[in-house]
Amino acid sequence: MIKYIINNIDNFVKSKNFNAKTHTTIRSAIFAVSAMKNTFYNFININKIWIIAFFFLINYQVINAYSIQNINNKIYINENGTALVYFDVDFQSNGQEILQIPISSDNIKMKTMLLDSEELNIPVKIENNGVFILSIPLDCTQGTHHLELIYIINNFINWQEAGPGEFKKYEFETYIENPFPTLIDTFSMSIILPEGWNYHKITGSEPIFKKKDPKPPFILSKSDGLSCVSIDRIPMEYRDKIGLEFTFKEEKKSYSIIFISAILIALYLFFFRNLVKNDNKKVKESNNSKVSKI
Amino acid sequence: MNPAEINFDTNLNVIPKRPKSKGENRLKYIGFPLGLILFLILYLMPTPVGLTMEGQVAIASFVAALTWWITEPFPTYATSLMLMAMLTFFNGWSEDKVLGVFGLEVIWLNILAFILSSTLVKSQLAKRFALWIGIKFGHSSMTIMGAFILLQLFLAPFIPATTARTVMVLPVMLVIASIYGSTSEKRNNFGVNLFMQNLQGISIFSSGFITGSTCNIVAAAFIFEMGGHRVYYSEWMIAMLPITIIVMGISLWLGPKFLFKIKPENQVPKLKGGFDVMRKMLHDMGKFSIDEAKASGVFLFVLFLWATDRYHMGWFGFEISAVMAALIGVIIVFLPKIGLLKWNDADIPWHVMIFSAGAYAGGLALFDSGAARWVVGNAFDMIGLNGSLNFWVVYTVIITFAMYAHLFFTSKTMRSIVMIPIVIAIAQQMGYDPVSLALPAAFTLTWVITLPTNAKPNLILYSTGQFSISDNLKYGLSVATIGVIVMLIAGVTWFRWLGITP
Repeated sequence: MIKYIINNIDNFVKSKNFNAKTHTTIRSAIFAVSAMKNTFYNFININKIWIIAFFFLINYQVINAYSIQNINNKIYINENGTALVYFDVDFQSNGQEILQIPISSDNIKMKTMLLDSEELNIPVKIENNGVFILSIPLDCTQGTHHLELIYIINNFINWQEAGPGEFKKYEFETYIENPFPTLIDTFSMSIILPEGWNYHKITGSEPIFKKKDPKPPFILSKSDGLSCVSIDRIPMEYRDKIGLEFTFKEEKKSYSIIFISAILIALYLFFFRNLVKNDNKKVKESNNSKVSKI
Repeated sequence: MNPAEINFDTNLNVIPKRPKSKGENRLKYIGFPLGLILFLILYLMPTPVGLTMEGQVAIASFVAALTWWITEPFPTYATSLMLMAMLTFFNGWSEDKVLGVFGLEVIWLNILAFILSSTLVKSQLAKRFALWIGIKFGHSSMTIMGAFILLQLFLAPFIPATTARTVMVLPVMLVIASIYGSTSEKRNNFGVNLFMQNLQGISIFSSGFITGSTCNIVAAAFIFEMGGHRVYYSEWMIAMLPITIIVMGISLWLGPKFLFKIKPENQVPKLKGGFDVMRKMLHDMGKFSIDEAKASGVFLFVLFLWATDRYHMGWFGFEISAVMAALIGVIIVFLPKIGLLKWNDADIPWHVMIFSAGAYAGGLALFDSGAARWVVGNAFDMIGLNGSLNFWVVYTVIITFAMYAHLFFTSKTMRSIVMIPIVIAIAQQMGYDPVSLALPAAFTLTWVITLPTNAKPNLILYSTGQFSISDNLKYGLSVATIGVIVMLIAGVTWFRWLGITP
């Protein structure tokens, strides 16, 4: 019954064009009820609607104490398999709280944490509920704040698993999922390869690139001379993912092809010189002269 | 022309010889080094920003192949095979995808359509039909010219090979022309009009049917693969056939009444006995044979399946695609007793299939790697075009370019392979439905009507001496321009009503 009501409310919310804040608030309430219904449903045999209303009021302040406007995630992959990650988060706070951010790995070593440009020295916790969640207890005032994180992920790429495949290509994928009902207005992810490496092919992405889309959701660019691919998820709702799958390889190419080509060109020019040697002489018919335009 | 020398036989799998001119031989000589050098430059340069390494290889390989297709240092089918090898060896597209192209619907439909068209030759149905038209309508210049246009309209949906259509009808045309006093030695305006109108009919009616030419099938495949829209046989036919009929109707009036006026004495038969020869040939063929009946039945059945493709789901609960309809037809014609064809009778131009497969692989590699989109996007940025540009401006530019592009790129299939992915990318880049630009552009691909060198049928017809290059240019450019105008009017009316244009 509760599940039915929750689904209906959720559908109702989706069908209305509420602004992001209202949407997030209502979804938070639904999420709270959804999370707690199993605990209370078997014990309290009263009108379920009142349970929903009750938890809506109780949990709203707890769960929706902040809203995230923007996350900018830059991942610099190193040749030793580690990754240097920059995480910029713009969020709206209602006061003291635990900020929870979905990340791509639990094997991290925090280097820097800045809240509004002031360094923080507080312990962080990483939970793994199928999705890695970075929990940061913050003591901040109401209003908009900017959090900057710089950390290292050890063994971000397992080179043994990634490749090399055919043509010395390596395969890699990374995804981040939003496990919270909190709507993230914009989530941007950029992956930067080590120097001398480049993207061979982008094989998958979230958001998905559909055939009829005017442009792919990802953009290939250069970041300080390094190959970079970026993707945005606007907005990132509950259970939405952002990420990329790609193959990449070293950019250096074999220059022996120039030597082989020079030989081929020289041989061709020599053996087919009759094509231009004497226009009055009957040109020896090559196989090509039998070809018609199709 | 001796009417008794009429020959209806043709073999598409044997490539006709055509001597190369001095200029073509020089082009051929520099073509191979030029293509290879272009490949090396594009392949070895640092990967441009916004492009993957796969896209870079696809561009480099395609540019080299394009150079070789144009200059022809190798046969076009050999260049296609080279392109497939280059894509694989330099990792521009995976081997399974490159080789898989030969199994795609587009290639199968081509093969099956050529097998089906062989039944027309084997059963002699086309010969009987051409002779009957000549005898029935040959007594007045306007009716015979109109009848030949109708004959081309009849043949276009069944026979994708325009050369085959030309060769089938040519003997009767020569007889009719000589009956009206037009020969290669002493041609008159009847001959000019008859041959030019057939030249146009062969090309223009090819655009009325998806199976009218290989390039149409390739274009439809691109629109499906890249634009995500399946072009139905009936959709294509309903959209384009009326336009081809209108344009050919105008052409039928324009030539004899305005461009090449026929003198009154040339409007009636001059050569006595010409019709008697044709009557004798028709008589010698005997009664309508069982094979002809079978061929007619199979063609009508396949045509029915093609034309009703969008209703199949409602009727049968499943859809018989164009390729499956052709497959059913081919199964019937190959069956013992019921059918009329043996494998050796099937006239399939395998060099065209190989050429198409390679070129198609190149086009798909460009799209799949994002290279086509990258090229178009950068070109747009360079000239300052953006999504705010009016659709009709873009439509007009594309239709005009597509219509006259045959002056520079002779191969229809190659133009399809080069142009359609770019047009789709342009549409996507500007935020328009790819179909709205790509399908009208595809409709103009077969209109190769301006010069004898534009297409093989043009050369064959030109070789009869019934018209000059300047005649062809004058008539062809006029009709092509009318075609552009009709296509533009159709864009804002007919195509819009059908939901093709916005």
